[in-house]
Amino acid sequence: MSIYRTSVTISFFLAIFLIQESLVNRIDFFIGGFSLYLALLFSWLATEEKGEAFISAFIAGIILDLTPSFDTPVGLWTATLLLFSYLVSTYRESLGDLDERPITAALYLVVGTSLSILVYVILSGVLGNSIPPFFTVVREIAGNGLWTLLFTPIYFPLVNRMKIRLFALRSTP
Amino acid sequence: MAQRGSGRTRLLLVSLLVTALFLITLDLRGVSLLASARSAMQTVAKPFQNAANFLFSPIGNFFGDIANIGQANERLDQLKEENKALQEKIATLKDMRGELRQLKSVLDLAGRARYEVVAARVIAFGPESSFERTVTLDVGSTSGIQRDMAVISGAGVVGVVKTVTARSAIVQLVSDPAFRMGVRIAGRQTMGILSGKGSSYFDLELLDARDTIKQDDVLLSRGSSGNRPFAPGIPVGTVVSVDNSIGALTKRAEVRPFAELSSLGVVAVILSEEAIDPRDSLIPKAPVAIPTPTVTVFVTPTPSPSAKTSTKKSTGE
Repeated sequence: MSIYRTSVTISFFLAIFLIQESLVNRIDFFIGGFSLYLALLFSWLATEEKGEAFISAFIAGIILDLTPSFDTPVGLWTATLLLFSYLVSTYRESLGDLDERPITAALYLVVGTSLSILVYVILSGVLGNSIPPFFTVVREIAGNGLWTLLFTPIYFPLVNRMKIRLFALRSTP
Repeated sequence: MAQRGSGRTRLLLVSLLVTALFLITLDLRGVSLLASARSAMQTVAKPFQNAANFLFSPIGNFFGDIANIGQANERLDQLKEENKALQEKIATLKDMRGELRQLKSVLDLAGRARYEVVAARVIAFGPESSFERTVTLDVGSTSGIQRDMAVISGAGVVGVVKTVTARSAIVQLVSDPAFRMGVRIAGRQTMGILSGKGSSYFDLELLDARDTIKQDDVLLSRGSSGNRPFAPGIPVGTVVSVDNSIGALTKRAEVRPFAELSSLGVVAVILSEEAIDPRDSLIPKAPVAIPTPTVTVFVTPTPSPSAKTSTKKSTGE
């Protein structure tokens, strides 16, 4: 992964992190919440090669782990997202071209974000952190899934176009 | 080559995972470096959070309001119910205050006249269509009420008890067309017969054609035989107009009652009275007009400098 690509990835996720922390988290969604950060990460991973996907997930995980309001150990989100980046990059071919299959794209994003939150909660419990009540977890995951599904037509094409523009321009001689 | 590439990515994954696990271990062991990193992230994020809070908090509230619209409606319904209950309470309190004022004034009148009275609440007005003017009181024979007892309000005569049951009494009002009572003009012994005519004014007919009557004369009850139904000296009303038709056998006048018969709330039934005639002492006092203070401003003109100059010139200075 080139320095340019790495710096773009860091900048992108840092910006999204700030948007998530300062804006999205302030919105009172009536069911659960919406993790724009995870949705955009999975959109990002959908078009990445294996090695790039691992590094992107690592960067995104580190940034997410540094969220001041979290009391889970630093590195937990990194490990979780690395695991999912492996799964996504391994089975990416079977999903086909997500640009042409919007329903598959939406389902992929919903399942990806929901499972990552679930795995994060479970790993957090394994490491000795307190696990929120079952109903709360279900509501949060369901709410996040719902908003991820509803907003997919907005952010998914945007991420893809942005990536094409950023990296295609760079690769043009 | 493909195998080497695959191996490299696998190695990359393993090394990244190991790094993540290492970070977890460090954090669980309480290495302060990671806490400082989170603190630094907070420092970076804070200005953005403040700016977003300033710019977008109305949006957050908007979404919150939409999200809580069900609760808001519930709260609104609850507040409407509370408001309705409070308005009813206010209306009841106003009603009670009005009744209290009427009770106070009727007891005041009864006290001055030394009447033994039973206070009663008007619970119904007779039908207008029957041309009779009656009210129903919530006291009856169990409270000592008997037929032909006088009923007064705080201002004066209201009527006479005509029918009594155990717990209610029907009162014929002074305004009833069939009502007749003897009255005298306050300050004199001029007598007349007052009769109701179904409206808010009564007719007065003087007994002696030589007697005189004028506007604003006050009428008091003359007193009945054995003080039943009326004791002497109860205020009745004031003369509002006099019929001075030439050739009339007696003087006639129109009288406005002291008692507001259309808005009776609390009245008193006179059970007994002392043998002393109160004469004119029960006449309601006319309301005293409170003078409005006027502000007087005195202005003394100050001579202008030009005027001074011209005065000096004219004096040759």
